[in-house]
Amino acid sequence: MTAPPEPLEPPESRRPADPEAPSVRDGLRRAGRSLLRDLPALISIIVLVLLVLAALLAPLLAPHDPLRTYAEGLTDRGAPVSPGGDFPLGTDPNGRDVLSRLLYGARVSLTIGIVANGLATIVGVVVGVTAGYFGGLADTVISRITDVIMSFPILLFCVALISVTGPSQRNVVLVIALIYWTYLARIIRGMVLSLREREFVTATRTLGVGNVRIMVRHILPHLVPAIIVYATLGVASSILIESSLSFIGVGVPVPEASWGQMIDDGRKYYEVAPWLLFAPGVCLIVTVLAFNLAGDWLRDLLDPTAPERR
Amino acid sequence: MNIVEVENLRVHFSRRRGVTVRAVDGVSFTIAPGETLGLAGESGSGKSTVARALLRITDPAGGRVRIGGRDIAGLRGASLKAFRRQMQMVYQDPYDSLDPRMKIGATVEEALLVKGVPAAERPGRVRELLERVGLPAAFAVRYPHELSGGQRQRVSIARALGVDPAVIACDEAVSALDVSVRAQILNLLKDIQEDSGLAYLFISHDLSTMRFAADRVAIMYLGRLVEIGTRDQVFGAPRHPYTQALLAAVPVPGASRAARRVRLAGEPPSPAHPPTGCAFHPRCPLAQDVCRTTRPELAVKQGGQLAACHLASEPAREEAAP
Amino acid sequence: MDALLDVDDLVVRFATPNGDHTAVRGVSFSVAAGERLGIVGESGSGKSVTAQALMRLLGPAATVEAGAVRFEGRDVLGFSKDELRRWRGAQAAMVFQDPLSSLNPLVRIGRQVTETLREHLGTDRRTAVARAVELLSEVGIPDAPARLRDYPMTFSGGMRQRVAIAIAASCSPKLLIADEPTTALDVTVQAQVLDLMDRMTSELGTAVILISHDLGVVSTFCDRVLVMYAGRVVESGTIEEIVGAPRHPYTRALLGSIPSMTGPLPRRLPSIPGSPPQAGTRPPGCSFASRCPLAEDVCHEADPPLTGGVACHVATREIATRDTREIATREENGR
Repeated sequence: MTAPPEPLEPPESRRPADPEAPSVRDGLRRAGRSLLRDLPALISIIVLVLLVLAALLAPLLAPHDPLRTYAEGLTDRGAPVSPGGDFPLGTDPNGRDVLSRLLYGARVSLTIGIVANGLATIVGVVVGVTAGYFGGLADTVISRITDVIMSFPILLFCVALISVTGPSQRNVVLVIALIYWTYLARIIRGMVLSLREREFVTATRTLGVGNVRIMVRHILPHLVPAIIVYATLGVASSILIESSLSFIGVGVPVPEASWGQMIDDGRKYYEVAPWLLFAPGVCLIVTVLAFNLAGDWLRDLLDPTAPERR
Repeated sequence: MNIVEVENLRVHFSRRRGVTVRAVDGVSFTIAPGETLGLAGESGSGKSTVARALLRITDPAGGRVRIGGRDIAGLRGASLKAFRRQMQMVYQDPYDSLDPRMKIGATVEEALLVKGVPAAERPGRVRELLERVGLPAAFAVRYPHELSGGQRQRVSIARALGVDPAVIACDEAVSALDVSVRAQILNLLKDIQEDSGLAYLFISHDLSTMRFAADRVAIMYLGRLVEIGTRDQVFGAPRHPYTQALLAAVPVPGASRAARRVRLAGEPPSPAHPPTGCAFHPRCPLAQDVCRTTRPELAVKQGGQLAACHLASEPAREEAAP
Repeated sequence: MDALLDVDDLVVRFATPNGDHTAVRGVSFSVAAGERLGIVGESGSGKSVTAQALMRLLGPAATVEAGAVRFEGRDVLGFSKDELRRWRGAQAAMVFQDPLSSLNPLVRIGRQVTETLREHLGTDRRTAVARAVELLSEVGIPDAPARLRDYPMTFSGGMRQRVAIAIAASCSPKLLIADEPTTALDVTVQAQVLDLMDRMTSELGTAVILISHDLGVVSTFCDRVLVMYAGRVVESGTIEEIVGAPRHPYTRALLGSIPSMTGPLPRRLPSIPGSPPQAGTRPPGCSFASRCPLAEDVCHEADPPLTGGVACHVATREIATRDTREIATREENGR
């Protein structure tokens, strides 16, 4: 009997095969197309771009000096001025312009949120992947370190550290990063523990592929969704921690503005001058929301198995 | 010369409270180039663990494994990686054995990268490998989730072939596939073997598939081989009562209701607490006192195959003479 | 004889992110009291969806678009939540492939067995426990009184399936639907479980619908078989007809691609090219046409109806020709 040629299975995919390997430009085009279909993500990206621009261009955009107390910034009775006129968002009890402080505050808050979190994410991912993949002694040591850090009350830990190092924006960033990497490391380690046992990882290992390549090419891509979600949530928490630190007086040193500090100030004058709370509060909420929505979009964009939205 | 030589292989797992599970307890066999050895048994028999030990996914507790004439125990680093090119595996689950976030082409290319094929030659070789397993080269840019189960198993085979191995272990490689697709993959495996003289360790619980795929068959029960012989010996005239029960239990299309007879009561015992003597004695319809106390070793039985049973008849004298 | 269950032109549609697809396309059959029907098919054939539709177990993504399901003449698809609760378990029961998913892992076995009895039969606690012990012993669980207090986790796969069958049989249902009940089990245990289903259903006179991908399993259990492909019944008949003289090319190919346990083996297995069509891609005409060795032009154009137990243009025509020839011969002989 002669062997019939092995027949081909008909392609079942609804997506036609792309004859060319996708380039970076194709990726960007795909990103653009999916953004146009996803209105919340589009708005979030626009908001984030505007925010970064505002922070960068604060010196040009701010109508006043954020640190200066203006005589006309206080009423005759010494109360803050309501929004409108020369001070679009009013002034604070020290007679400083709220809008200008908000713009400069964006610099501080975004820097802290992004840099502190970026550091925490990088350290957390590297440590978490190493611990989870290799296991054994490395895992035990790392797990104990994270246990110790996580068992401290966060604020007390920050206060203690900053009282040693002295309050400054840089130290606030470092302290937040020092705490937050442990949370991410824990989550990543857990995920890697289960990924490591998946058949495709075993298959790659038995192919003779080295550990570093397995971690980078086969483990890391599966962690990206979780990293994005936790990193975007982390930006929000970092900004909030900074505000708590500023409230206790170990955060960004006064008189420099940060949103957290402004919110805490605003709380005290909520009944007489509600704009003091609302202006930075709204900025914070919008920023946090924009980070989260943009994060969701990015996660879906990077997932090849997610159905393309119509 | 045999490409795979396994002598008295033992694999132990430690469980909580110091319990040691002897998942594989003294297994010996050989595989010649171009030959398919089938390894059959029920869940918990240790058949997959044998393959994992041969690939050094799990480290053996004892015994000797030689692949391509080389003892694989204690290989580390570069020499371990070099050995891995000798033996590959096609896994059971077509949905989990390919990285879902990596395109088919990149998955196959990784094997070539490991083998040291220069970057410029790789795309062409990926195309050749895909075509060899019956997939259009255009599939290289697809993701695994865009493929059917059968197509994914073809990719797994292409990846294994990429490093030019001498042996491939197929661990339930067709069990998860639809019946109509299973036959295609079995044919493909045979074609590849005829072209390249590959040896297969074919692991399956499905005995009708085993009968088609294997040249020689080994039956495992609770970490030990109970019978090993050529396909015709084992399927035609099984000597071990377990093999006989296993074969009788296979439901064949066309068999009537009356043909289904329960030959075996109970389920395989836990390998953590194996019975004394012959591990099969609590379920064996023929068990006698000797079976409860003394563990039978593999020995030549009537028909020429090896079986580990006190009661299976010895070969007639003229048979044993040569 | 009146049918116990009557399924008429059942159509089930699923909504997916990639658009709707019809998983079951006009399936009709009936089951008489005490009868054993097998439904055989590969993945995506719609056999499990059919079972779930019968039991009203479909998730929110699925809708029964058309058709009727009548149980003793009552409209199952029109049951209220209350009627459904009383019907399921008491009159119609189901056994699943993986008993771990149908047994609640956090509830002791005893409670899960007695629950059904107390719910449907209003049995008091003490009687229910006694009955549970009896049931578990009947399905071959050793030391049943002690095991009532155990959790499903501590049972082996075969034992769990026995418990699931005990629960299904506890109210003496008139219909048992078993969806791949032995697929996850070892072959020696599989025979035991089939035996048990045999015994329980013949004692209670229960009708069984056995859903399986394995023609061998169906062959040793059922009286009648439906072969499903791509959401339709392509062939139906007694087990002897289907296995002994299959008419649909798909049934033939399916049987041909199973290596036999005796006799000589071919060098290559006869195989069906391609793979079963997945959801969403369904060309016009016969769904099997693209894989069929006998396909003609008409097969790609029109979906053949199920006539005389087979849905195939070619097979139907062969039967018709043979019949005319037979009539012709008979007439000739008569002359």
